[in-house]
Amino acid sequence: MNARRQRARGTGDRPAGDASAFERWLGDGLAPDAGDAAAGRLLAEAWRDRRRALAGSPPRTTAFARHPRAWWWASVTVAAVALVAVVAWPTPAAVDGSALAASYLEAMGTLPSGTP
Amino acid sequence: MLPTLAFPVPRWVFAPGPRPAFDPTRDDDASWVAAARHGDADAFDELVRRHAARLHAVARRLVGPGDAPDAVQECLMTAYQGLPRFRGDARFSTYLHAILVRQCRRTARRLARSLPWPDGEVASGDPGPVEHAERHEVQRQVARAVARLPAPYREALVLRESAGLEYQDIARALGVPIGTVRSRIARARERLREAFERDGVAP
Repeated sequence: MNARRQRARGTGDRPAGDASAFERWLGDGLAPDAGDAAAGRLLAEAWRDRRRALAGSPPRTTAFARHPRAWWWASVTVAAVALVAVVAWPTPAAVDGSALAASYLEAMGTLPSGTP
Repeated sequence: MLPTLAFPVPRWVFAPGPRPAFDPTRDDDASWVAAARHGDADAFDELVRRHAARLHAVARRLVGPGDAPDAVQECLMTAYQGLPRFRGDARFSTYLHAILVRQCRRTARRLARSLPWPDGEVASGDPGPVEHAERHEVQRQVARAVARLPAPYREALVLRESAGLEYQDIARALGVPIGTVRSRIARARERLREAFERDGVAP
């Protein structure tokens, strides 16, 4: 960032020459001051202490959020299970309907035992 | 912490990807963010050290000097816990300020605060007593006037002037189109100009 833009308070959208006196005055009034800098240092120290106190408890995230590779392996696993399910699943044609019907009728007592 | 699954999964399945090379000579946030995402807590501390003053400046203008430190601390905790989900699409400062604005909104709702808040400590330790007094007075007047702005105008203006964010970053942080950001900032400045001219304090 060059000096000209630096004078525009680092905003960067337009050079300082375009800013009106009022906008510069307003920007000066809203800019971080020495009080903010001092508070920032205190906040940083307080945060460091708080974070160290939390060191035993890591951030509450899942392994999937931390490790993109886990998504790949999860996808491969799901695809493999789906493939096995499709290939190995018994089709309706493989079910012996006549045997099922015979056992049902036999159980209901309408078909003599041993009827082919 | 690895998830508990019903079947054994080798640890290398969940191993993080290759760690990006950390270049300490690069003075931007990206290297620190990458290190922090890979578990380097000291790197996140460095990011906090860089941004804490601006975060405090923004929070002070949004919720007042009394509640600003708590808002910033909660913002930092949320940012730290959400860091693994930060994809790096936006700048890290935008990510932080987006969280801070939401935290400040929650704080304001919780306190049901009626603006403006009492004039608080606005500066200390400026060089020279005369400059200090003048700057202190300007900041006190500006803070009082900004506190009376409607919240959407105040948020956009403070992110622009106190945080130094670009318009597109403000749009990301607030979740509004960039044109809306421009109009809000312009209207905020116009309202402040009218208020200051009415009071006879504008330059």
